[in-house]
Amino acid sequence: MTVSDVLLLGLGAVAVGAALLVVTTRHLVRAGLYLVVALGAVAGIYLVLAAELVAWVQVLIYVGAVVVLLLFAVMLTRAPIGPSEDLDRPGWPALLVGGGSGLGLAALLVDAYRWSTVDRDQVGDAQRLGTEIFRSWVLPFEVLSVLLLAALVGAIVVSRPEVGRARPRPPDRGER
Amino acid sequence: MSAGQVALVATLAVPAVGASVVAALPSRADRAARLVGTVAAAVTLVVSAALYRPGDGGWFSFGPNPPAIRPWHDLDVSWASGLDLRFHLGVDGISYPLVVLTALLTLLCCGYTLWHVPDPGRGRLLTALLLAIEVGILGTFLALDLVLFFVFFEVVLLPMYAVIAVWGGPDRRHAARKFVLYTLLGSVLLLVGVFTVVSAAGTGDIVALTAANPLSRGTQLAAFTLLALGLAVKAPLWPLHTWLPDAHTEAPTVGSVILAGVLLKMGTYGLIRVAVGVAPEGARWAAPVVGSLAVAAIIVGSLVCLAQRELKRLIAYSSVGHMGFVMLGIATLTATGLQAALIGNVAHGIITGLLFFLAGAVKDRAHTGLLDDLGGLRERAPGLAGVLGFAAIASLGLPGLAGFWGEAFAVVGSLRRGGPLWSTLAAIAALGGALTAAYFLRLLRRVSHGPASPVVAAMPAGLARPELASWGPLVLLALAVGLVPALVLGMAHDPVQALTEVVNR
Amino acid sequence: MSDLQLPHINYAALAPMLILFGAACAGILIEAFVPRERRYPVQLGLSLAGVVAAGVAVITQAGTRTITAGGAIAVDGPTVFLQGAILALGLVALLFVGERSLEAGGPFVAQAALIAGSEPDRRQVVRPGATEVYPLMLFAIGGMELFVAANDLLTMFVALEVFSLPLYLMCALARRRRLLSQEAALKYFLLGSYSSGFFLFGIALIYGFAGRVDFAGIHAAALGSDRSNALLYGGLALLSIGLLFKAAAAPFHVWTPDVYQGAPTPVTGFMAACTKVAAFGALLRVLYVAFDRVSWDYRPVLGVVAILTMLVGAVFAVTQTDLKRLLAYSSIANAGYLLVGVLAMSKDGLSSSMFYLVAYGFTVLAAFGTLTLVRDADGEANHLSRWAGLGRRSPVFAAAFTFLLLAFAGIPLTSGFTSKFAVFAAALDDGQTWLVVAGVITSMVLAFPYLRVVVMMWLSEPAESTPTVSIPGVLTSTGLAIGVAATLVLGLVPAPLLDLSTKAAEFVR
Repeated sequence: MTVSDVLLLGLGAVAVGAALLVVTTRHLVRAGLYLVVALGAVAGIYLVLAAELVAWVQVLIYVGAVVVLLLFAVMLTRAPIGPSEDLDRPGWPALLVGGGSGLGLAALLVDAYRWSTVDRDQVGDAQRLGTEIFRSWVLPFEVLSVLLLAALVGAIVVSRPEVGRARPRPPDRGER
Repeated sequence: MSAGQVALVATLAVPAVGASVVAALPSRADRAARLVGTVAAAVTLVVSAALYRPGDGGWFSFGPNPPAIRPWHDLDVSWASGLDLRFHLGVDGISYPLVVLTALLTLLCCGYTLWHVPDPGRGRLLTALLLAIEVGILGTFLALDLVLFFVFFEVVLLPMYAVIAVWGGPDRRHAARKFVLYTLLGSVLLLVGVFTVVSAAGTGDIVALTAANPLSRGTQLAAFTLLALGLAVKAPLWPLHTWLPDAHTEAPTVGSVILAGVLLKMGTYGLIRVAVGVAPEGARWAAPVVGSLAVAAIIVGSLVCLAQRELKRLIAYSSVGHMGFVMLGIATLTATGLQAALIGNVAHGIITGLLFFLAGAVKDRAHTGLLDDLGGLRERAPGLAGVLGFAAIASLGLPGLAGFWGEAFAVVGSLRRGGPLWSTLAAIAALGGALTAAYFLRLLRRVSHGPASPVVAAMPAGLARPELASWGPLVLLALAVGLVPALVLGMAHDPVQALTEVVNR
Repeated sequence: MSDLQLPHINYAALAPMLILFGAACAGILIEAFVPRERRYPVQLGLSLAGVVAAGVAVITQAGTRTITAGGAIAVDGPTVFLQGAILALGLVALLFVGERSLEAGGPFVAQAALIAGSEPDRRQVVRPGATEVYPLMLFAIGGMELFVAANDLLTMFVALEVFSLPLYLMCALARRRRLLSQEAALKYFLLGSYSSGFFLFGIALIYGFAGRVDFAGIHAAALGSDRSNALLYGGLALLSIGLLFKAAAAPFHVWTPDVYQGAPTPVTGFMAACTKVAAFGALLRVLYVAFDRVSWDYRPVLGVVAILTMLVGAVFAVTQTDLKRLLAYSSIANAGYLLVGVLAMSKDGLSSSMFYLVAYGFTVLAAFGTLTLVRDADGEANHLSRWAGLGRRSPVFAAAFTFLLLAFAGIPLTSGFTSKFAVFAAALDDGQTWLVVAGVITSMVLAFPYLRVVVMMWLSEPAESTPTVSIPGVLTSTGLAIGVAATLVLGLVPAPLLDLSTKAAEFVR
C-alpha cells in the first residue's frame, strides 16, 4: 500500500462522511459547511491523482463559488440559524432511491475493478487539459461558453431597470 | 387507366366527395344538402352497376395456372411503398352483388332521409354519415389488399357509432357504446391477424395470397383463428352477437337498414374472401367449430325470436339466425355452401332491409313497437300489412322468394359435405328453418291479424309516396332474386369454383 | 510548447446550430437594448427567421455523411432528418408561442422565479409583453439540434443540458395559474437534474469500460475490452435512464402529467413534440451506433420498459379528467410505441421510428394548439366536463379536434394509423411479436379516453358555463392548419415522407 492509496482512502472516507452529514444535519448552515468539506475532499482526491488543474478548479468553483452562493442564498432568505426540525423529515423514498443507487453504483464499481490496477497515463496539468479541450472537445466547450454568456447577459437584463422606462409609454398596439 | 379502373375509383370517390360536400353545406340548406347526398348516392349506384362485366375472368383465365381470384377490373397502385402498402381494388362475381346492394340500400336510405329525418334533425349530417359509411363498406368489398381491407373495415365504425348515438332510440348511448366496444375488439383481433399474415407472407395482396398460399400450417391456423374471430364479431356469429339486437333496435330506421342490410355482410364477405382465401388450411381445420356455432346461432336466434315481444328486436334477432345460415354455408367449404352463403347474404340484405323499413314505418305511425299493442294492422292499413306480410314470408324462406335459396342450399351443402357431424348440423339447421317460419307467422298473426288495437286504430292508413319508392325496389329485388337466383349465382359460379379448388387443394 | 492542432470544422454541417445559437444570443441582446413595447415583433421575427434559416441550412446538408468538429458531431441521414423534424415542429410550436390575440400580452410572463402571488408577481401578470421566451426557445431548439447530432457522450450531455435548462425555465412562465406553473418547473428541474446525474454517471462507467466516450470507440470496445462487462451494462442502464426520462417512458414518466399540466400550453406542445424527437433521436443513435453489439442483452429489458410504458400511459389515460393530463399520458403511451420501433433494431425500425416522431409531433402540436383556444374567464378550460357540447357551439373546431383525437387513437386514414403500422410492422419483421401484441392491445385501451372526449364534445348537452372557443389569430390558425393537414396528409399519402426516412436511415459511425 503506497502513500497515495492511503491518502485516497482517507479522503474518500472524509468525502462520504461529510456528504452523509450534509443530508443528516438539522442546521442549514452547517449542511453548507459540510458540503465544503466533502467537495474539498474530492478536490484532494483529484490532487492525489495528479490532476492539479481540475483540483484547483474544483476548489475555486465548487468550494469557492457554489457553496458561497448557497450560503448567501440561505442568508438572503432569512433561513433559521439554529436547527430546523422540518429538515429532518424521514424521507424513506428518497433514502431508498438515493441510498440504493449509491450503494448499487459502489457495488458495481467494486465488482468491475476488484483488485485490478489501472495505469495512469499522464499527469492532468493545464497544458494537457487545454490541448484536449481545444482539439477534441472544442464544440461542447464553445456551446457551454455561449450558454454561460447568454446566462450572463440574461442576468444583467433581469437586474437592470427597464429599457426606455423613462419615456412615456405609447398605447400598446398589436398586442391584443 | 382503363374505364373499369376509373369506375372502381369513382365508386369510392363519389360518395366520399358527396359526404364532404354535404357536411360542408350550411345548416340552413339542409334540404338541398340531403338532395345533393341522394344524388351522390344515385351516381354511386350507377357507377357501381357499371362495374359489371359479363363473362368469366377475361384474359386472366388463360394461362397454365389461373389465379383463384380473377377480378373483372383491377387497380393496383402503390400507396406507401415504404410499408409495402398497396391500394389494390378489384371486383369480381363474389363482391359485385354486394357492391350493388350496398349502393342501392344507401340510395334508398338517403332518399328516405330526404323525406323523413329522425329526431333530433340535422338531416344533412345523417346523410353525410350514411355516405361515409357507404365509402367504408364499398371499400371493404372492393379491397384486394389485407391492410386496405382493414382500413376500410375501420372507416365504418365511427360514423355508424354516431348514427346510432345521435339519431337512435331512448337507450341509444348504451347501444352505441356496446356496438363500438364489440367492434373494436373485433378490429383488434382482425388487425393482429392481418399483421400475422403480412409478416409471415411478406405481402398483403389477397390475390397473391389466395393463389400461392405461402403460409405454413401453424401460421394458417393462428391467422384463421384471429381473422375469423375478428370478422365473426361483425357478422355476428353466436355467441359474439349480443351487440346486434341493441344496436339494431336503438338505431334509427336508416341506420338499422344499413346495419342489417350491408354492414353485417362485411363480416361474412371477409370470412369468404380473406379468412378462407388466405388461410384455407386453417379454414378446413376450424370448419366444424364454425359450423356448430352457426347452427347454434340459428337455433338460439329462432328461439329468442319466438319469445320476443318487440318488433325491431325480433327482426334484429332474426338476423342472427339468418347470418347463422350464411355462416353454415361458409363453414361447409363446398361450392354449394359458398354459393348459398353469397345468395343468402344478398337475400338477407334485401329482405331485412325491407323489414327494418317496415318496422320503422310501423313504429313511426304507432309510436310503439310492442307486439302486444299492435294488432289488426290488416284492417287499418292494408297496404302496409301487405308489404310486411310479403317481407316476412320472404324472410322465412318461402320457395320462389329470395330467402329460400340461401337457407335451402346451406342445408344441402352441409348434407353434401357428408359425415355424421355435418348431417346432424344440416338436420338441426333445417329444424331451425322451421322455427324461423314459426316466429314469422307468429309475428304476422300478432301484428296483422285480429281486431285493431287502440294504437293501430289511431294511426294513419295510407302509405306515403317516398315510402313506396324506397320499398318498391326491395320488393322487386326479393322477387327477382327468388325467381331467378342465377342473377347472383351465375356471376359467382366461377370465383366460388376457383375458391373451393384452393380450399381443397 | 507543442503545436496545438485545431480540429477541422465543417462549418456548413454545423450551420443549423450556429444559426440558432447566434439568433438566440441576438435575442438576448434585443431583450437588453430594445424597448419593451417594440420587442415582440422583433423577437418573433428574429426567431421565425432563425428557425427558417436553420431549416434551409439543414436542407443543404441532405446527403452529407461526415463526422466533424473533432469527432463531436456526426452529420448523417438521421441527423439531417431529425434536425429537419425538430425545426419544422419547432416552427409550428413557435407560431403557438407567438400568438397574442388570445390573451392580452401573450401567455407568458417575464420572470419565472418571483414568488407566486407576491406583489411583483401580480404586477407582472397584468403587464403585457414578455418576450423572454423566444431566446429561451431558440436555445432549446439549438440544444436539440446538437443533441441528435452528438457523436460522443460528452457532447450529448452538454446538448442535453443546453436544451433542458431553457425548458425548465419556460415551464414556469405561464401567465395564468402561476403556482401550478412554478411547481411544474421545479418538479421538472429537480427530476431532470437527477436524471442528468444518472446520465453523467453512465458516461463515467462507459468511460471506465471503453476508455473513450465517442460512439465509434464504444462500439469497438464492446467487441472486447479487458474491463468488466458490468461497467458496460451499468453504464448503458444509467445512460438509458437519462434518455428515457426525457422521452417520458415508464417508470421515469412521473413528472410528465404534472409538468404538461402546469406548463404554458404552447410550451407543453413544444415539449411533447420536439423533446420527444430529440430524446428518441439520441436514444436511437446511442443504441444503434454505440451499443448495437450488445443489443441482445438490453433488448429484453427495454422491451419490458416499452410494455410498461404503453400500459401505464394507456391505463392512466382512461382515468384522467383534465385534457392536458390526458394528452400527457397519451404522450407516455406514444413513447412506448416509439420504443417498439426503436427496439426493432433494423433499418426499418429506424426509419419507422423517425416517421412516427414527425407524424406524432404534428398531431400533438395541433392538439395542444386547440387546447389554447377553449377559454373562459380564468384562462384555458381544460377540464373534460367543461368541453361538453362544444360540438354544438363550434362544429369546425370540434371537428378538427375530433380528427386529431382519432389520429391519436390510430384510426385509419390518419397519420396515427400509418405511423403505428410502420413501427409495428418493423418490430414484427424483427420478430418482436410480444411488443406488437402489447402495442395493439394498449392502443385499443387508449382509444377509449379519446372517444370519451369525442362523445363529450358531440353528444353531451352544453352546460350553462361551457367555455367559449376563441377565434384564433393568424399564427395559431396557421399552426393548427399545418398540424391538421400534416396529420391528414401523412395518413393518406405517407409514401413521400416514408421514402425520405428510409433513405435517411443510415447512421455514420
